[in-house]
Amino acid sequence: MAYTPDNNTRRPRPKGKFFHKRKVCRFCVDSNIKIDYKNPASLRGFLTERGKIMPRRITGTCARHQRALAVAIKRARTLALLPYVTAEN
Amino acid sequence: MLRRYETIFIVRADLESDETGSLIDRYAGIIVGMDGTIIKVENWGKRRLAYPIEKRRDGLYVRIDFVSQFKAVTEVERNLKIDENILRFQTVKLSEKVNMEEIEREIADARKKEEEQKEEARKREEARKEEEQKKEEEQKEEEQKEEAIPEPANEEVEVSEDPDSQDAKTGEEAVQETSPVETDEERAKEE
Repeated sequence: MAYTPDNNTRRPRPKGKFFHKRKVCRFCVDSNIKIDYKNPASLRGFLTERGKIMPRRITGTCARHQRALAVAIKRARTLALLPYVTAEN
Repeated sequence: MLRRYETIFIVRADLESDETGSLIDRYAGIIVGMDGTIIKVENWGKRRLAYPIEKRRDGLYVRIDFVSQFKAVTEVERNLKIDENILRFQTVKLSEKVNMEEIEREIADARKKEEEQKEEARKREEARKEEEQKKEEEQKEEEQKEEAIPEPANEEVEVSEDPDSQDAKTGEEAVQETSPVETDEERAKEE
């Protein structure tokens, strides 16, 4: 007789413990938001305190928009609209 | 092959406005000289730089939006590179294909808007001037009134003194009125 695992009775999954709220790319949700290197205030939210570009896994941005964001931030950096590095404090 | 570009450059902030104006005109002139058309010239004004460039913390940002051949871009950038008043410049291609009719329309719209804004500014200034004039007139009138007023004001003070004395009298009267009641009660107690 074959072994049939009965997950329902044996191992109840710990609820809520490994649950992550699915982040959605905010540029996909609202097409009105444009990624513009001339608007440093809008890009500031995608930088860490040190001035690094935030990773996708934190902001939830989709791959396509993350690429556009990175380009915009780099352009803004060359024009001194955004910092390359920010010193501690 | 015409393309649409935008060049942003940072001018030293300690230049005088006349100099920056002539500087901007010079670069716009270079583009026009190379058969380009300028759509818009924006002066963002003085801004704090995110990091110091050539030991300067502030810079004046200028944006030129234009349509031209690529050779115009190289020519402008060559000149920007030579110029010591320019801290930084960056040119970005906005679109590969250009529809000149649309751009002409855009330029016309921008001009209209500018004219409208200028008119609004004029109207505002006129309104301000009128308000100022009104205020001045009002102030003059008030001054005249004040000049006219002082004598009656003294009278008012005199009048205001009178009710106080009346109040004092009434107070005394009130005391006089209450005292007989008490005396009546005392009399009743005595009886």
